[in-house]
Amino acid sequence: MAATVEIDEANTVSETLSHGISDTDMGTADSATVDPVANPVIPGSNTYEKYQKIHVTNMGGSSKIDNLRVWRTGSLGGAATHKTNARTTSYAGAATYATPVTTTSSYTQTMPTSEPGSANLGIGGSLSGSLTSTGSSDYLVHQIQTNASDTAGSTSTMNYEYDETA
Amino acid sequence: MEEQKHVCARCGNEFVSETDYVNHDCNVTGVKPSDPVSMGPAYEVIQAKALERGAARAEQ
Repeated sequence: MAATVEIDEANTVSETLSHGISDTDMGTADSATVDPVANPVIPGSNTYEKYQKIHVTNMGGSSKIDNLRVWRTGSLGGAATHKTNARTTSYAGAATYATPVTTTSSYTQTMPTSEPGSANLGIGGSLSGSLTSTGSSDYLVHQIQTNASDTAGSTSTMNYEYDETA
Repeated sequence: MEEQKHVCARCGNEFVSETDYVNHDCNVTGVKPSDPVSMGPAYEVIQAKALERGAARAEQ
């Protein structure tokens, strides 16, 4: 046996939590199931911020989950940038949930495009935090910010990694 | 403020608590969200890799 882990996403003013999402749809609607074709971003504008977390639903007999790393592989369309609160240094602690917005995110770290060398998402507000029973990570907050000259969307892959101690 | 809802992204059912969500029998995956099968067809690989990383760090 080993731990059971899923990715959750929070949306709306009431922090509705969608458990076990299978993809990250980014566009101009605050929903875990945004259709980015029907809700495209106007060039020069931003997607809604995403609030996601890694949720351990069952420890499966293991003693610890830690060392959370998040990154994106694949290019964005045009000159768009991908900003996040995930960072390996100067981590600001657990992000507090706020109703997602399309205004420019207060989080300014560029989303890594390869595996970070160390944890970049915390547990309990700390990059060295761990889960020893069921529970969730801090919120991963991220947003794609487009350039006025961008003309097309893109598809890339979000990677969520954790270490598990039996 | 409205009470927080918990939604299963697979079957769409809504729950008033995380505990209720974790303990429901999902009619899409066929298992509870606490069952590793709910992680998808690659769940054994995901779990094995996570344990490998944890063991490697413990040895350092």
